[in-house]
Amino acid sequence: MPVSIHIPTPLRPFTNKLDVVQASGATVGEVLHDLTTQHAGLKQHLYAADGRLRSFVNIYVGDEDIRYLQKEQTPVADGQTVSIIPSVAGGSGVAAPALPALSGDEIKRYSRHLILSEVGMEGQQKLKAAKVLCIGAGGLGSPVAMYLAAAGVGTIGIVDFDSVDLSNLQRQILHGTSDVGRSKLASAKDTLHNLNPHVNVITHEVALSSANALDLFRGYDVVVDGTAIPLSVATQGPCMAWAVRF
Amino acid sequence: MTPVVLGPGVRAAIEQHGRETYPHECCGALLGDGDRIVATHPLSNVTTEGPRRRFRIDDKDYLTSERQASAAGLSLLGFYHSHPDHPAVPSQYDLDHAWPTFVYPIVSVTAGTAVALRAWALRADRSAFDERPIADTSEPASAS
Repeated sequence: MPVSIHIPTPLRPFTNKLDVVQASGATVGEVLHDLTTQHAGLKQHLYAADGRLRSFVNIYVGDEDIRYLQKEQTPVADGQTVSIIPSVAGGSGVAAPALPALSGDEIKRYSRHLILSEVGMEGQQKLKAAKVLCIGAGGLGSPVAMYLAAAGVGTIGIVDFDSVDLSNLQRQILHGTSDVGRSKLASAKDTLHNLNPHVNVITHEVALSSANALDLFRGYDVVVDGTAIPLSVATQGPCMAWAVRF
Repeated sequence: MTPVVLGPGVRAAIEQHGRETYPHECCGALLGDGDRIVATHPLSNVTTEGPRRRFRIDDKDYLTSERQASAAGLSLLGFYHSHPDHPAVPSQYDLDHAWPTFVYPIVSVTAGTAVALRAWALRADRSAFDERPIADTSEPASAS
């Protein structure tokens, strides 16, 4: 089954300068195999030494990235177009820190994430490496912190200085009846650890202000403003100064 | 290595983009003919690994760059990027992600000022980068 393969500029020296080449096969893998048989010089640029497609080689069938289809097993039909798109990336010498490994318990816990192509092992490891600061352990902060903890965000900071009141419980689901009178931070920490003991919960018992915001935000990747005062001045300015997302 | 020739405004455009995105890395496409770069297209850095030390170009932007080159009767010659507070020398990460035939100019931006621009090309066996000298055609003659 002949399909057309679009060759990107840097690989055209290996296809006699052609930008479109015909190749045969029932799947993307077969088509690429036929292509590299016809044009052997392509092989070292498409495949790593272990025979796997290089991670920065993107293959599209039509407008779809095969990573989100069936990868190299993606079927191709007669007349379809396969495009090789170089992932152009780079950066200065300081490598990004290695992602943390998952324990056996964590792999079991996050198994439903791990089978999702949008998350997978690397995504779960990124979640584990992530540091999120929640401002407030109240009505907004509660579900945010609980879902983040359940999903496996490795470090969750919480800023609060209040204690749990009976009237909080109708919406602040981090806290239960037995927590009434306790500090919200202690209650939140217990709830999150019960939900997911792998999460590192850091508590900050202070009132957020523009004076302490920059110091608090330092070291976090994302700041979630759960104070019900959208884009509060104390949050927005320091986030911009420190280039964290909020 | 044969020199890469920068047409009028090319060096200035790369340096300006590097200053604008500092302390983050900038990136963009280079269009031209043979060894001569005549146009720069600044692109978004879509890396998810921290833009102070990494850049990535979206697949759609890559395709658009090829189409723009073709429509203008030019070729996509390569991509530039910046190294904020770091020399204009490619890293192992740059090498791992490099493509043959492309030219990769790197502008070093230190404390917000573009201090060096050097161009690199992947060796045929992928083992290293070779530096390509830069020849400017855009710069007015020195007044001295």
